[in-house]
Amino acid sequence: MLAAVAAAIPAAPANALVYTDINDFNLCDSYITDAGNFNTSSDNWDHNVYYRWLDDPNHTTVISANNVYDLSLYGKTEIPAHNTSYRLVAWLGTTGPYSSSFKLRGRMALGTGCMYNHDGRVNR
Amino acid sequence: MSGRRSLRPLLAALAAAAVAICGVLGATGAFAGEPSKREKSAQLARAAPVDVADNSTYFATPAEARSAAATLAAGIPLPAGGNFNGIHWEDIPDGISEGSLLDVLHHNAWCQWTRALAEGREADTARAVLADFESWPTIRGGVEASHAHDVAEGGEAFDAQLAACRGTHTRQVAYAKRKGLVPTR
Repeated sequence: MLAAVAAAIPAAPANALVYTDINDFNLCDSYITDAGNFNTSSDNWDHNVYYRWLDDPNHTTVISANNVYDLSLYGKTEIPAHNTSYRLVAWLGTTGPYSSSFKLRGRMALGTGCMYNHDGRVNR
Repeated sequence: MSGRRSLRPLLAALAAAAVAICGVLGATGAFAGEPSKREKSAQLARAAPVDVADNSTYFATPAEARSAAATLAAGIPLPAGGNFNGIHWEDIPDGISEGSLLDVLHHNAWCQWTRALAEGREADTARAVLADFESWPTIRGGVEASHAHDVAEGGEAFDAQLAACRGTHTRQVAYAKRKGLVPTR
């Protein structure tokens, strides 16, 4: 499903970030789905990771970022239903012009079932 | 009787050779028919692609994930003294797919070999594994493959990777100790 709300992108986070769209990010409340591994932009000195839904989410979702090498949790955010604004997911624990790798994962809030074919965007 | 007595030196020599061979094979990880580290890496480079988002095989708890990792680790080459004990399975209380778990193990092994090469441990094998890594099934064709290629080539990419790997190694050693496990080298 293509994002119907792409024109309503809120103000981008202040840093020089890069974004990647995650198409058809299928989530359920009974397991976590791995959206893949990402690197922070070398211009992202704050090493913050943001996420937003491009398609209106029907229910609350939880998005997390873990270290790709040891799975240590960088951070997570709970995104309320129908919220398509950028949310801070994690700070990757360092500052400076270095690229950090993280694994983005998502699930539905418990008791809300599954949500299929929704697109999101990770900005980092 | 005399013929049997004359075989003793030969048998002793064969036994000594067998002990020596076992020692070498044990040191290279190629004991009792097990593939060598280079062979394991080459096998991974030829293995079918892995979809990290495929949740058809799912380990629902950290304990299940740690147990599965112990099993799957057998197919992944590590430098001597290496292990996966420091992975923070407890930071994923809601579980992990098999593909995602393999992805973490592969990245962890990549880091172990990166540090091994930097420290001059098993350098030839480390170079071979790092060269293979871009073709391992969780990396091949993905966004990280070109970076893996650059790391194997050395230079700035290697240095940057090494810095990240040393950071995670420090974290893993502390974590393994807190869990009462032997830390990876």
